[in-house]
Amino acid sequence: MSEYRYIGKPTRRIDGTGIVTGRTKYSDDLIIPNALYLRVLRSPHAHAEIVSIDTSKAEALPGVRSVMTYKNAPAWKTGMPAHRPVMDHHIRCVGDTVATVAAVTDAIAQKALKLIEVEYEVLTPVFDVEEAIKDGAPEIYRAEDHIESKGYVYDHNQLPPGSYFEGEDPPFYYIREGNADEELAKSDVICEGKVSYDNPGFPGAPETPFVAAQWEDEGHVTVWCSAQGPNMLAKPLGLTIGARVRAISSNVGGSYGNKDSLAYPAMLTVAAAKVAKAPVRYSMTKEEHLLCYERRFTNKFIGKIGLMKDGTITGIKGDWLVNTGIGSELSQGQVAEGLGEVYLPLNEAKSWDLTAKVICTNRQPVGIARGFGGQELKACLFHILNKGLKEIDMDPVAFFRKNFCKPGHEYYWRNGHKYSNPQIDYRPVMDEAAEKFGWKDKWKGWCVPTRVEGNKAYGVGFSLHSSGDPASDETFAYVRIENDQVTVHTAVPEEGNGQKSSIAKVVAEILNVPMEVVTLTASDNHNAPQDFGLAGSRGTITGQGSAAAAAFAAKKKLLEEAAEKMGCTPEELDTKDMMVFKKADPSVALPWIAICPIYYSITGTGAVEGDFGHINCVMTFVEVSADLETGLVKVENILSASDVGQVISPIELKMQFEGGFGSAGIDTAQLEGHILDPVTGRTMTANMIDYKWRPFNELPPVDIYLKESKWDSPHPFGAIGIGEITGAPGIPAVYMAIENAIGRQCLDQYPATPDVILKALGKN
Amino acid sequence: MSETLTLNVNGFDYTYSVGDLPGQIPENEFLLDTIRYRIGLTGTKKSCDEGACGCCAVMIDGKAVASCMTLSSECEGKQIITIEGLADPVTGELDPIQEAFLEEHAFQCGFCTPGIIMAVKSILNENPNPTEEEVKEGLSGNFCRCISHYQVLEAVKHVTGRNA
Repeated sequence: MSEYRYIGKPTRRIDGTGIVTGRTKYSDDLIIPNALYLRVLRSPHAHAEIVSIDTSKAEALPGVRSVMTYKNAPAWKTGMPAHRPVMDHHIRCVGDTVATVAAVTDAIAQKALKLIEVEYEVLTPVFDVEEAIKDGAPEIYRAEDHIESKGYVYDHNQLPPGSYFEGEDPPFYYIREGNADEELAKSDVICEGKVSYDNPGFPGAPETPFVAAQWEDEGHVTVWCSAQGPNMLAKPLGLTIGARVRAISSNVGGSYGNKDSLAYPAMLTVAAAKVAKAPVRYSMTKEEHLLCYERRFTNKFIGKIGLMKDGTITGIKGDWLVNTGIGSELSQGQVAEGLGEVYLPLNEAKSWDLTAKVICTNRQPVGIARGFGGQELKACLFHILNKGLKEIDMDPVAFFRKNFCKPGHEYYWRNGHKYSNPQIDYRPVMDEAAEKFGWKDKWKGWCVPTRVEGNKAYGVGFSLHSSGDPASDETFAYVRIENDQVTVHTAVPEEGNGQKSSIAKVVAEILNVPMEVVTLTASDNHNAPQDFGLAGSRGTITGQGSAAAAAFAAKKKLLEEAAEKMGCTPEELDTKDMMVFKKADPSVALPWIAICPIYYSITGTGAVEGDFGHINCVMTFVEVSADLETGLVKVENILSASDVGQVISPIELKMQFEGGFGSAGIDTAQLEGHILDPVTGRTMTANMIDYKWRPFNELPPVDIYLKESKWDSPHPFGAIGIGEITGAPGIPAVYMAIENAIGRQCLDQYPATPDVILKALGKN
Repeated sequence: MSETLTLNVNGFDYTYSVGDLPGQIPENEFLLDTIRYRIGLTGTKKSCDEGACGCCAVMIDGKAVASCMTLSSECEGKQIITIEGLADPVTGELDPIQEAFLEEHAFQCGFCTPGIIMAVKSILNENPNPTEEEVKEGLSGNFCRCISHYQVLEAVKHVTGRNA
């Protein structure tokens, strides 16, 4: 039997009844009094200059309150570093903002857009990163845009490196260790090549991005948003616009990292509200969401990896070319974490010379998505590595077992500093999961199918992903005890992972009360103390940990105040079900309401001191089938594994693993990706009919293997989060499995759609 | 005197004047917009707005339809049920499907959940004892990006009592 009342046991979601009855309010369900409806006129051209724009007819339409163009928009810029203006006469991608209309109804706003007359001078676009950095390539931003940071200047479409992750330190955009050329020369085998993961995946949620803004006075603005955390929106936006931002994250209809900060739409809506001198609400259409909202990061890796016959990595050398489209919300931050995310599994490498370049093109801007740099880089780099592993004939599980970061070893994290893996050894779970998957039986060697049945060849693959974020960033929470109720002040929103329920569970466990008496505040940065937001699997340790610390503090005060009333010491007391009792004689008891009567609060404050020393790791074993006649690849089954410390909410945890298929995760290997019209530069798949998601009748079996080693962490029960990374290892694993199934290593771009497979087989 | 349109939603009649003036229902208005923005029943969700994702499913005369592709003007005289109308209107008792979704944790962000519940209701109206394959086919028009599908199938089994 578990020692816990709730921890590790299934408990219903605290917000479940609202969800199944339709009562739960998402952002677009909110009534914001007198808010005008915002609609956006978007560019049909990938690269253009606005020669003239006439908004007079739109302004004259009854019901239109305001039209904004580059001529009257505030001169704010967002991005990393500041580069993307609210609007510009220089149009940079299909779907770029040309004008906005704020009107009393949505229909009037849409009608007014059609009355705006624009004359464009069409410019030559560039979509590919290798083309974009050449001399004479079209300039996405120009010298007059003054993009610079820490002495680095925008040049040849390359954005300055670095993000706010490094603080005052130099930007972290390369790893150079040892002498890569000398070490590579000693290799038994060198594998090299170029792999592209550059068909933008759409990580977006069912709910489209939403922002509403109301200026309270010149220095204060209230924003309602579908953001994954209020502070991730409020802090950068506040700096951009020079005002204090109150951000209220409603229930979020899916995010997967992709609605982390809503940086550009938030700036646009706040600007429109300023120009209109009225509250404004903007709910993106699904077409806008797919066409021009901040997408998943795409990239190419061009380089080489040296290996010795025993699986020792002599060196890794190459260029990591990131396509950030017309904007980087935090692409350089994803580069920094991505470097750490390849350094962790290739931890024993003797030398490194890996440099990232973040490059603007005329494709849609890049935002944030789970996997966060490492998923994208590994899709390419690990795929090149496979060629070398084939040459030395080494089992990939054995290779990663040898090279993954071991306890006591160091790794880089997002600020360019090194951190130590204090204790976590993922080798046991790797071994046990491999056994559960039946790896030894199914693995027949490189480019050897597990079995062939008629036209169908089956192959297996393996990969893993690890992040230093699970305990990142300082986080604060308060717990109030009043009468017989408990209120938790936390900025954590609900975006699907059940984190609010898990926080309630942890607090109920510590205060030993029914979960029903625990209520969490809405996710509002005016009512809750600081929290970076749900990112990088950090909610488990930091969200639960800070609330737990606050609950312990509140309990301590409660027992101190009870002790005075009961004439004993606090150490003699404990509490259960809103009664304080003497441990030695539970019949001597006081109800909470006698200690904490009406109009009385007992408040505990809690904090987690962030660190990068707690790495998580998810391993993915996958079996695919490839139809050798049609080229159709199917994921047949998956086993995902991790050591998560103490399980808090078992069903929600299982669903986090299964969620690896969604949000442009595993399925970007063989199913998902936008298709670009190379002539117009328009994304042709900007709708839910053409952009495919995995439906109910196409779901393979997912098996999960968990270990529960209790790690020393800021979490009160020793849990570690994994939600962000469950999809990331699946992509290289699926690619490895495909090549084993079809018997040749010949894929160099994603996704492996049937035409790609047939081409690889020489059949088209 | 303008033409009127009366919609019966969750047992209540809502009558509107038809036309293009503010406050009137245009003839080309879709049921989703009428339900959400006029009647104020926001449990029905707008997502793809082109009939592909199932988030906006409501039941019309017992069958799930995409309300974003259904003209309000074609719904006069029909019985429209939204997610808010599934629970017993007198006792508030949840529909067994809603109860099963709670028990089996059959949602994550919950945005697609009302549409999926309405689709399950429609499937079970037609066949109270479907096989798992029939359920999967029946729900193939409902997208869920969090991947709650596996628990949804558990919830349907919970309702039907069928394990295969």
